[in-house]
Amino acid sequence: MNWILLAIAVAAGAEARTVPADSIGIARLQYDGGGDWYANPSSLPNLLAAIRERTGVPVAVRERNVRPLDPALSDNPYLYMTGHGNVRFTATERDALRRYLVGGGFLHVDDNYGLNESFRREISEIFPDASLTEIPSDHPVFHIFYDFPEGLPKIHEHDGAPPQAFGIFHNGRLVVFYSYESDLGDGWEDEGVHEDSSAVREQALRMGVNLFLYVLGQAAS
Amino acid sequence: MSPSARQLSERVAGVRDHLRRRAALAVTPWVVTGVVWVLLLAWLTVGSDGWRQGSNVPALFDALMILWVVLGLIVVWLGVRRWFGEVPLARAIERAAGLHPGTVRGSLELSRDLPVGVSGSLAARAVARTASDLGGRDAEDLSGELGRTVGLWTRRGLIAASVSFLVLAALGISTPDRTAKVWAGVSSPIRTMIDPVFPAIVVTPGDIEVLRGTDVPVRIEASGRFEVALSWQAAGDVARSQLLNVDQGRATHVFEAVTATTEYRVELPDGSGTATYTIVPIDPLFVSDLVIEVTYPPHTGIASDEYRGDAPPLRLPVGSRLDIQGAASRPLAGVSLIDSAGNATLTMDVDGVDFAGTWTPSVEGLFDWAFRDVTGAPAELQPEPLEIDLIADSLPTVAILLPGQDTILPLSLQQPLVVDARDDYGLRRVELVAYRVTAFGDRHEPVVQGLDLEGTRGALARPILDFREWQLLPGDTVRYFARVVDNNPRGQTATTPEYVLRMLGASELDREAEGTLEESAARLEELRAEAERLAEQNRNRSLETANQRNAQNGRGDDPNQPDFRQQEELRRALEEQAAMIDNVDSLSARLEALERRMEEAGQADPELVADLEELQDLLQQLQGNEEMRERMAELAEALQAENQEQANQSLGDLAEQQQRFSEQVGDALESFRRAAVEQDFRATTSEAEELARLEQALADALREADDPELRAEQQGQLADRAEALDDRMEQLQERLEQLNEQTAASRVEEARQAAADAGDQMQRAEQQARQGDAQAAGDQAQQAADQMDQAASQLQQAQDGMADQTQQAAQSALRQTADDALSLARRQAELTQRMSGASQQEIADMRGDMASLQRGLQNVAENLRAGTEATGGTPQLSAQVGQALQSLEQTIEALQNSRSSPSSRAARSEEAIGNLNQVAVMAMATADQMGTPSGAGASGQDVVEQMGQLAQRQGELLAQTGELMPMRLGEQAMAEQLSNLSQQQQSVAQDLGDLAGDPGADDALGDLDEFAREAAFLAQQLAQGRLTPEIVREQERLFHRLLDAGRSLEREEFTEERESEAPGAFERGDVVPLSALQLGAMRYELPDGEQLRRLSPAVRQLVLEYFERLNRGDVQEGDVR
Repeated sequence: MNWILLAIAVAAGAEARTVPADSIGIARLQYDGGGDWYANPSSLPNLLAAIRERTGVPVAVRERNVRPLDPALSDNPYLYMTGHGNVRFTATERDALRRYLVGGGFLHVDDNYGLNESFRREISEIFPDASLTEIPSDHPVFHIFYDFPEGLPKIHEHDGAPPQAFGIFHNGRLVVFYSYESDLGDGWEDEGVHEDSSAVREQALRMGVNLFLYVLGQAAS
Repeated sequence: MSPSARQLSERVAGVRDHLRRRAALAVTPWVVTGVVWVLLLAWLTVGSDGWRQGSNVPALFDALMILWVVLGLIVVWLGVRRWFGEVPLARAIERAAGLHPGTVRGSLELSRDLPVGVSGSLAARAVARTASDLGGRDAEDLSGELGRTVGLWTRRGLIAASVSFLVLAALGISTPDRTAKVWAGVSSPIRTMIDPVFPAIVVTPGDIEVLRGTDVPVRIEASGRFEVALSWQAAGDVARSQLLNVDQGRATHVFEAVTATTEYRVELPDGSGTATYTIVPIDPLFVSDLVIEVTYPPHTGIASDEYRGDAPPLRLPVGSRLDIQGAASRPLAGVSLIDSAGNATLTMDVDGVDFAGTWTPSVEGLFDWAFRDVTGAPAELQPEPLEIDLIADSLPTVAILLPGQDTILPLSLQQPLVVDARDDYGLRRVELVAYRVTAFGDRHEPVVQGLDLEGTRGALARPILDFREWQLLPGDTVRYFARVVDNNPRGQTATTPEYVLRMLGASELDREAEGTLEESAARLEELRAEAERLAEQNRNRSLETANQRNAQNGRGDDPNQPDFRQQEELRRALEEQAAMIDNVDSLSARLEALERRMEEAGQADPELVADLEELQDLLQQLQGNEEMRERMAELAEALQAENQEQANQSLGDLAEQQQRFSEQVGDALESFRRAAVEQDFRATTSEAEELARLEQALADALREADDPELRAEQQGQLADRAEALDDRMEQLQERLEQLNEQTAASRVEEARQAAADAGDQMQRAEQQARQGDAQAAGDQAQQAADQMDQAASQLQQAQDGMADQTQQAAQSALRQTADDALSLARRQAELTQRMSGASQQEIADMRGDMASLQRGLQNVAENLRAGTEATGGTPQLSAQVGQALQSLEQTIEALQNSRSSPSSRAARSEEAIGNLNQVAVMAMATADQMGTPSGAGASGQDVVEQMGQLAQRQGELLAQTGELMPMRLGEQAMAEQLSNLSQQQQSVAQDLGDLAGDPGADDALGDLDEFAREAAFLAQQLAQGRLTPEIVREQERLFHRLLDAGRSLEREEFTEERESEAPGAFERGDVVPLSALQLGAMRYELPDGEQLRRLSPAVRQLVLEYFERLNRGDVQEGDVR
């Protein structure tokens, strides 16, 4: 059950006021194709808590779930997508996602193992004129709050490959961040879910904080 | 000395002694008199109070008396020596004795010493003789005159003393106190002389505050004083002093009309004095300042009020606090508020003239003020009584205005609500509480979500209850209510009634799907009409504008001059077209939601899914009409550029596209209508099947005769449903006839007859059940079940038959298309041969043949459309036909063009032949494909379908289980039903096992075996007659897992999820640095500040804007200057 507050009007005799919208937060992208878009259920609440506690940014407590055609898509500055399986968007959904991203949105795709190929296929449909570019370790996203001199941290083992961060830039703005072979989301999950060490979880949360702050900074520029 | 001399001397001495004694006696009365007179003088001197302590006067009088006595003694002594000396005494003796003067004196002198030349004898003789003369006489006699004088004074003295004594005695008798006081002082002068110890001076009132202008009497207690000096100085006045007589130890003075602070003190003659006292004139007690601050309870959200002076009647929310403070004109002793019973409700703190108090009224009423100053005086002017009305915080109210009643959950599973919440002092939070109740009565945990309202007093919230993730199943209900909490610290709450959102049942879902399709068809019909209207309207507009342009040309006006009205019309045309496309989008979204909903409910009939996907494809074609979008974009650009000519041209083109769009909508419309009828077919069939199942269960229950009344009631309900089914079948039959599906319609009629018979039997069964004939009722119900089952089978056959017929018709049309296309290709080949070496005339003659070919192909296209309309058309084939038509047109043009070369004509013709052949090939292939089921095997799409079907079967099983629950079947009937369900469940388990055994599926999903085991376990439980909530939940879980598995199989590639693992060692590769563009740097750097400063502000702005566009990539190459 989701509250979608369309309007709050004030009854007669009362002072007019508006109920404030939800705090800024992160929305989980719900997609079709069979992949478990809902993977790592405790990850985003933990990340949001870390952002709130460490930076003071008043972020929402819980994530939101949005579909590409959800009218509320553009209300979310940070879209998070993960999963293990296939990703498939319809043409309309691709258009909507492109409009969202070009119009100021941001998509963080976190490869939870298994969505690499389908995601790359879909993103090339969404941005046929751009390609995923590996983001070097000197990019501000790795230093904005916490320092990651080596770049994207490695949280989970996938194929023994190094963690890589890819991005799509539009007019100088990072609109898509693809964390590959890193699995940040696993590191954001509750302690014990994946039996990650606290150091590893900390690395994941720090990278998450960096990402969120970087996105906010982009939005403000 | 001779005896005579001695005698004489003695004689004279005797007289002297006598006189001496007599003189002493004479002096004594005079001394007494003197003393008495001193006493009399003291009597006169002494005050009424006697001698003042410390006075020296008594001592003075005593000294005077002593002096007087001493004086008397001195007088006596001096008198003796002077008056009683030898000469006067001798003379007095001589006179008293009659002797010659000098006789005695001479004798005495001779007796003491004979002068030279005097005879001793003679002298002795003279002495003897004198002695003799004096002999015989006493001293009194001899004292003579002296004696008499002394006697006289003695008498006088006695008289004086007596008189004085008498006077003294008289005074003593008449004023004994005074006399005694005189005597007390005189008798003890030393004691009287000792300074007295006076009591302290008492000044009354001392320091005092008096009403301004009043007289202030001052009383001075000064015992022992005779006078005191009162000194005073009023503020602003000179110092003053006044001697005051002390009367009876008391002196008084009155300060008249004191208007200023006056200091005063009493001073004594000895220089001492009292302390300085102050008289302070004061005004009457009145309240000079009164402030009441009302602080309302925080939850009311009302800002505090402040009242100065008399407060108006106060209407206070309970819990309001009054902070009262103020000041009076003079120091206060107490301030309080008194209730009507006279009790002090609030006693305030006082500090001098200030007072303050805090009060949270718990009772209402009229409260009097009570001021009392330090003197106990009340205030001259009291503030008005405080009137307080306490207003209790009312409970909040909340209502769900929309839907405001129990209703059916929309297909989208999103239920919009309108929640109206109000509270007199503000709302803290509004919450929606919703929970699922499954068809089996299993109640899930409530989900609560809410919004903080931050004290707003009224809120009209429009939340949407989104149940898409709730995995609701047919027959489930969602109970929900709204709850508000107001701002009161106790958090008063109010809740709405609990409403029910009913999830559609399986058959209802089917009907809903049918309704959606029908509505979509109706919408498409409207769209088609609208598209036609717009096409015509825009054509007219285009022509009208063209005419106007011609007229303007004639008048010499600039035809490109934009006309506002025309511009607006064009803009409106553009908006209308955009709105139409939005409508198509909306339709598409609705169909997508329907498909998803049906799938999630386990009601995704493969045929329905196929229909929906086909319809969505049609809509996507409408949405994705690129030419239409291009025309719209051109029109928009022309409008933007105010290019009237271009806009008009674009409008004409748009009109053409709209006409095509209208035709496409018309084509799609037929598919929608047919899909709606097919869904009607499925829904009706589904209802018949459901009714048959229920009737079968009821037949068993009737035979069991456990609860005849309930069974009769249930039988009645089923009979009603059979009657409703009959109506639906009648409608279906009519619709089929309208679609010219006569065969299907007649079959439906047969089924309807069977259903009607079943309905009659149900009614009879009901009557028999009511009559208590359970066995007969059971038999009758069994027949009804069989009849209804037969009706369902007939419906299914009719549906299958119609589908086959449609398919056959489409295949026939396709094959006919292939034949016709081949025929046309052959004819075109012949023409091609004739073209070679033909003359111009012959070429001209061929144009007629070509036109004939073109008409023929147009007929082929029309036949193809008509023949495949029922199956949703063949878009790709139609496109190929269109391409062939275009080739023919180009060939005709080449023939008409005298300048075209023979080779180019031949090439065009060859191209047309190729396209016609392609049409034939595609038509044949499509016809063959239509009759062939999708590929076998357990990989790819087939696995998806199988998993989907298994999920659907599991969903139907769940629905059937749900159907049983409300029937409250008896043990035996339930066992039979469960046995049926068990068999079906076992069948699902078997199929799952089979599927798991397929290599492809095994690759795709590793847990199919587990699904199969779960299904087998459920079948076993059902076979054992166990239908517990846990079993139902397990069924539901299995259904959702199958559904998810089916979805997962839809993916085009699959990567297996691994177990989590800590990262191992890795090496990072080199990463190419990002470009400046990717880093957000400008592609074209702005002119520096110095350069910009040389420009005027306006030009500077233009330059900056230009660079901004340049870096955004908005500027085309040609724009760069």
